[in-house]
Amino acid sequence: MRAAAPPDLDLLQGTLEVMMLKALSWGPLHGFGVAKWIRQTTDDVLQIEDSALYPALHRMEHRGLVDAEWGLTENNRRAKYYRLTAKGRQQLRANVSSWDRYSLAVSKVVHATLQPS
Amino acid sequence: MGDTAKWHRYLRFWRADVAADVDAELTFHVDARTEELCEAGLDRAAARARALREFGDVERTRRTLRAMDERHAAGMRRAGWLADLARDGRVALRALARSPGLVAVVALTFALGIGVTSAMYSVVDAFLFRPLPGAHGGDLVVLARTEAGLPMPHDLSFPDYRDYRADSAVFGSLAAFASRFVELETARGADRLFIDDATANYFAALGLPPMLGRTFAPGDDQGVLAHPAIVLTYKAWRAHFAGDSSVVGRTIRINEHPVTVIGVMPPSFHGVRPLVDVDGVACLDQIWPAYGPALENRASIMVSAFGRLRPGVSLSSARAAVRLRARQLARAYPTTNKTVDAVLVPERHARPSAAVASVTPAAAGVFMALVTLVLLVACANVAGLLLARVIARGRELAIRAALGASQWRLVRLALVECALLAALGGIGAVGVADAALHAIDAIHVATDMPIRWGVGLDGRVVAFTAAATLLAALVAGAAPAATARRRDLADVLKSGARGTTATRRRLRSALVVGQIAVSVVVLACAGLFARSSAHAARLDLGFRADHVLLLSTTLRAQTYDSARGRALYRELLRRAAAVPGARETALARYLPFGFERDNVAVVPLASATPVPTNGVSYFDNVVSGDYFAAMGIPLRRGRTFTDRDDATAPRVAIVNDAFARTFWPGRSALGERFRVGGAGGRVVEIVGVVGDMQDLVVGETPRPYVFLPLGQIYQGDMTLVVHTARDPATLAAPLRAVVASLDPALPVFDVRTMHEHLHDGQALLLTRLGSGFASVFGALALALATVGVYGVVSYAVAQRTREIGVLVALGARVPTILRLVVGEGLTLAWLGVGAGLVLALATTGVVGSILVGVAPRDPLVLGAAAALLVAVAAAASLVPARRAARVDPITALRAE
Repeated sequence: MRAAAPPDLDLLQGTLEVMMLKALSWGPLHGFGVAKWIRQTTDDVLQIEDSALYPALHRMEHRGLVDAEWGLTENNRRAKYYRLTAKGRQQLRANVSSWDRYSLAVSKVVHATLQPS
Repeated sequence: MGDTAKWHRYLRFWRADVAADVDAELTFHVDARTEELCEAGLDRAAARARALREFGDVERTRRTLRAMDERHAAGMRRAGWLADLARDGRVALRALARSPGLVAVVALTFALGIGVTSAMYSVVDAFLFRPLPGAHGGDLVVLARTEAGLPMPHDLSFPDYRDYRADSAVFGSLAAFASRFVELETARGADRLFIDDATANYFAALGLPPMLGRTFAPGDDQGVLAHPAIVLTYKAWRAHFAGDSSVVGRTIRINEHPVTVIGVMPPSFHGVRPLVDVDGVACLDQIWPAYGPALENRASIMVSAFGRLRPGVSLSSARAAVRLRARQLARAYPTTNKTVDAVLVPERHARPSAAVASVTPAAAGVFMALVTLVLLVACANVAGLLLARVIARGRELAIRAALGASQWRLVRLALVECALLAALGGIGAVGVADAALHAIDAIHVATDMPIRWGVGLDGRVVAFTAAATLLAALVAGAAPAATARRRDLADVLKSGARGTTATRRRLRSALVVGQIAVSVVVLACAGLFARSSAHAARLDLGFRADHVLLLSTTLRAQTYDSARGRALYRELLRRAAAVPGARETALARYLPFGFERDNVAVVPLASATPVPTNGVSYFDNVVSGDYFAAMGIPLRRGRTFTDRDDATAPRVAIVNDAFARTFWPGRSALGERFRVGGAGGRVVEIVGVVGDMQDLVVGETPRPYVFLPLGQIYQGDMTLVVHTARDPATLAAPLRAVVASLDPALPVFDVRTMHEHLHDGQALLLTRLGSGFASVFGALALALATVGVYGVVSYAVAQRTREIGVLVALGARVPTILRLVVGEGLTLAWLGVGAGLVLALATTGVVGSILVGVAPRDPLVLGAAAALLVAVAAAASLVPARRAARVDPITALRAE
């Protein structure tokens, strides 16, 4: 993330991972497709460097969250497609619920009206 | 996802092309983004620049991804491999559990084969490979002396040693030592200790620190009796001081003189000579009695030298330097060194002494080769048994193959099965090796000198056993694995349960033929060694080999000056002669084939042959008059020593035929005179000539030998030699009593019969052991070959039950059936024996150098080995043949 100083790396990677899992939840995508979807969905707010995506994707592949397979794009170009595995889908559910708890908590804090006693 | 995906996956199966995949993926990303931006209206160059900027550091990402993916791929391969192996292990275990009999036979075969190999390796390791303890133990060299007329490398004079040591450009360190017995005073009386008297740099040369206290400081060897100190070995510390640490710093009494214990060495230290287990090390000339002027005499050969080359100096350049120094010494001291040369050998080649540097590796090589052959025979046996098993399980394997098990999988299954059996055998082998090593360790050597075989199970031996096990598994597993191939198995399904193809039977027969051939070689070697050993034992040594009792004693110089000593000797001889059964009794300083010997430089006053001014070195002995009669050495001419040959009489000597022949060929040496001890030595006159005898190596050409009378040269160390018509061992107790009656404090040691002295001593022990080892190998090979033939023939009988049944039904009689089956075994035997004889004729030549009195291609031995194997093969075939003869035709035919 280009924005500010990077926060806790785990948090950053966790965030990236849940976004990528989500991107793949509709069906197989190549890395570029994942990047594009995130860019469009976030309105380019997060400004994630594309290079950050790939190590994360490969790590997820090694952990068995996604399967990778080479396929052809509509333009007949060879691309590596990632597909969510059952384990990845489970992980997505878990990540989404913890993200909800997390963002709710942060949101509660930043919008708090009660002053510390 | 089209064809590419499949094609790529197939490629992936062999090895993921990680790098290309990463490149393709990243290139695609940048290209796709560029395309997208172009469509949005940017020109191509700008679009590409932006795509790259958005991507970030492409190179670093590429490196990161490649490293990640490669690591992952490697991990996956490993995991897959392990999982497969574990699965194969389970399948093999289940299969083996179903045939416990086979498992037992195979494991036992492996255990014996690997076990004796490991035991033999342990012996070779102890003698040749294992470095001495200490930081420099592995790269020590031994410096020895050779001279014209005595080419075997041997010890040096101390002044020579000092001059070589001065070559500091060559030697990083060079230590010298001499060994002797001393007496340690104890509460009970005295214990004999065997110690090295060494230069102060002895332990520094080894690079070995003490376990307790200290070792010598430089200068501890300076002056005579100035630093009476001793460093004990661990063994002596435990045995004589009960492992008491407070002994360090204490003063003990050795040879009735005070000596300080300054240190104790760790258990790994046993001295620097193999076989000998010293009790301690003292500095030269610091333990009473000192060596005296002999140490400074260039003619007296007293010390062994070992050390380390200066780092960076090669052995060959060191050798050149040492020889150069030898020539310098020859010029500087022509009276003593004119014909003297020096050799430098790696310490490991100089075991047990530099003299045998050329023989020991050859002998070790022969025995390692023999035992490896036995291991091969064992492997062939196992291969044969497992092959039968693969064939018997043909249907099971064929079904596995049909169900999609890959060819490699089936081969691997056979290998894993064999490896499991080998591992089981390997565990048993450790037990077999341990038992064998205990047996070797218990071998009796006829001497009171502390002997340590140094063989035993240690990390190195166990590692070797593991390696041998792996080798055995691979060798024995190769044939069954090759047979477990899928294509062959397809035939099995087609041809039904029987499914023996001729190929496989031929393979198994070939294994047995090979096994018999190798067994012939091993048996032939065993026979050669046995004949050699028997020949050596029968050989006329030139003296009486039996009916003689030997008993050694030593007179302490404090109690016995030469007058008192002589008086004691006279009385000892008189009383010993009175012991019932004793015939001739005599005293001698040295014995033929003894562990100690001495040589003197001899200079004849008038010789027919030219002699160097400093003379020639020959072995000598100091004996009393009846020595020749007691030993059975014939007196050829003149007389033996008498009581009149005393200190006041003219100096006399007796020489052997070889001596007389050397200097006065063709005429009597009687009355001739020569100097003893070099050019300045005393003149003695020859009063007698005796027969030649062997002295150092059985089968040697007798060497010149000098005898001097005890009456004229007093010696404190003597061996009583008693000839008797009775069993000599029965004289031991009365003779001990005789010594005790003269002086109860006199030590008595090395009490043994001449038979023990020769057979369990230097003369014949090693020949006997070699023959013993070879016999064990031969017996093992024979037993294994028997099992092999039996296995093949009974298998053939089982396969041919139907055919035999038909024959019986057609009226074949028992002898016909027996002939048929035994003939099958004999065919294998003849083929094997034929091949074995060719092999033996081609290879036994290499053992020629270590045989005595037997030609390496001795027809009797080869014939006997061949006959034995044929007989055993016939006997092994007879059991299944009798089974075949009992075949009931009805059952046999119905079973089909």
